[in-house]
Amino acid sequence: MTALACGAAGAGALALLELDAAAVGPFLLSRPFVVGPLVGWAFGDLWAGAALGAAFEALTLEELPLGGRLDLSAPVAAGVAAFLASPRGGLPAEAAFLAGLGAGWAHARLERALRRGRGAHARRVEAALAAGRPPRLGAEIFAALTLQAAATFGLSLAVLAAGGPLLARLWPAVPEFLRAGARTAFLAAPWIGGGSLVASLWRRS
Amino acid sequence: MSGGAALGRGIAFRSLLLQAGFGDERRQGLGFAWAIDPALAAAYGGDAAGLSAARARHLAPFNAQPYAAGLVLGVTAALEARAAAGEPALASRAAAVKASFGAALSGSADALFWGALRPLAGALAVFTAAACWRLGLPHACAAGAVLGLLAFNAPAVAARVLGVERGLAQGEAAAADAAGLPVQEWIRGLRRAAAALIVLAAWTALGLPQIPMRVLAAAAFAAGAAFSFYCGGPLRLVAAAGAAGAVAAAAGWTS
Repeated sequence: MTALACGAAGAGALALLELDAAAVGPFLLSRPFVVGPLVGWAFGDLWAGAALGAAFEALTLEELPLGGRLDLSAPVAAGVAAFLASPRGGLPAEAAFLAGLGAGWAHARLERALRRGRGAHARRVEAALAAGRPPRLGAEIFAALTLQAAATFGLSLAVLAAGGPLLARLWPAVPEFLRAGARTAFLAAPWIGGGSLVASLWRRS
Repeated sequence: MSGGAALGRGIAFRSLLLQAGFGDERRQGLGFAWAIDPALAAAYGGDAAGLSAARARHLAPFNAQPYAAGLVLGVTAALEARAAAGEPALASRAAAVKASFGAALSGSADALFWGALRPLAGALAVFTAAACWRLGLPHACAAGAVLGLLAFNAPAVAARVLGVERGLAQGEAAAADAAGLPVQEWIRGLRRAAAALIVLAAWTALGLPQIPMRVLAAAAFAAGAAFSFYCGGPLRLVAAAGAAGAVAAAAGWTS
């Protein structure tokens, strides 16, 4: 498989899994503890995927999606990082972790933009009802789902097929002390996240 | 009776797409209209004008915790059925009940499903995977993921399906029954269980041979527990850890 085809396969899988977080269910199929190992296994490094999944799970588990709040897209962050850390992506885990954080942050902004435009679906249904036409609710729901999946696919493909290879070239040129800092952040992330979650759960119980 | 059960299953199934049209303007309004549509079609039958008005009513802004929305859908569908059967005043009551129940139930449901059960499921997944890995059992990650998903989805799906069924059968009385459940005790117990499982998962993972620098890992866990709340979240602490690692490397304190 070519790099582009691999990136497209990874982006397609992420686009489907991300629907669980945003639109369908949710069944937690989009949580990093599922997405990380799954993407890692599919692209050749289960354990890197599991480690990155655990890191993003610990960091985002405390964030409650109340009122549609969204700061970081956990499925996109974990999936992008797991792909880039696999043999297909070829990045060190710490660089993949940073790329995942960036992709998750960007996807959350994209999702917010999509939400701003979704009122149009309901307005089209209202216009159809006012005109005495069938409301086509299912078609509007399907259109919203398709747009969501297409947006996730586009962003993920851009990161996996273009951003990843670019970062793989640039990473060796990054000063060693900065790479060491990134390594420290990646290795500390699941532990800091876990400890933070324990304190938060205990405080609120 | 079987028609009512089939209708309940249909609404519960459609409620899986409640968030599909989630937007700033109407939140879950489009998904709610889609989910309740079979009930409206069954209630208003040949009354095209009544059906059209009911459909327009339920496109209004709506926001509820997705697993609590089943009950709101069931109660609203029951009120709409009575409105269509000759109690028109209940149509406006349905709209009011939908908004008030959605908000009232969501507080507890958010804390239960997002704030307690979801961390428990995540912790169970990580703990199971780490324990299986440490014991040398096969498919450690798959076992963890499956167990975590089951722990969350069994009660979540049950709440959604039972909520629609009870709401359809009992109307507003079902919401009063739900309010009498000892949810706060469940939340407290689940949160404590999740906290204990995370400590166990961390302890188990620390024993894995692949984990580098165990003392630093344990220190990071303790720092997360002690300072995250005061730093505005774990991500800032992770950034601070990265900065400390970079400074240590620049100063030559690490190999």
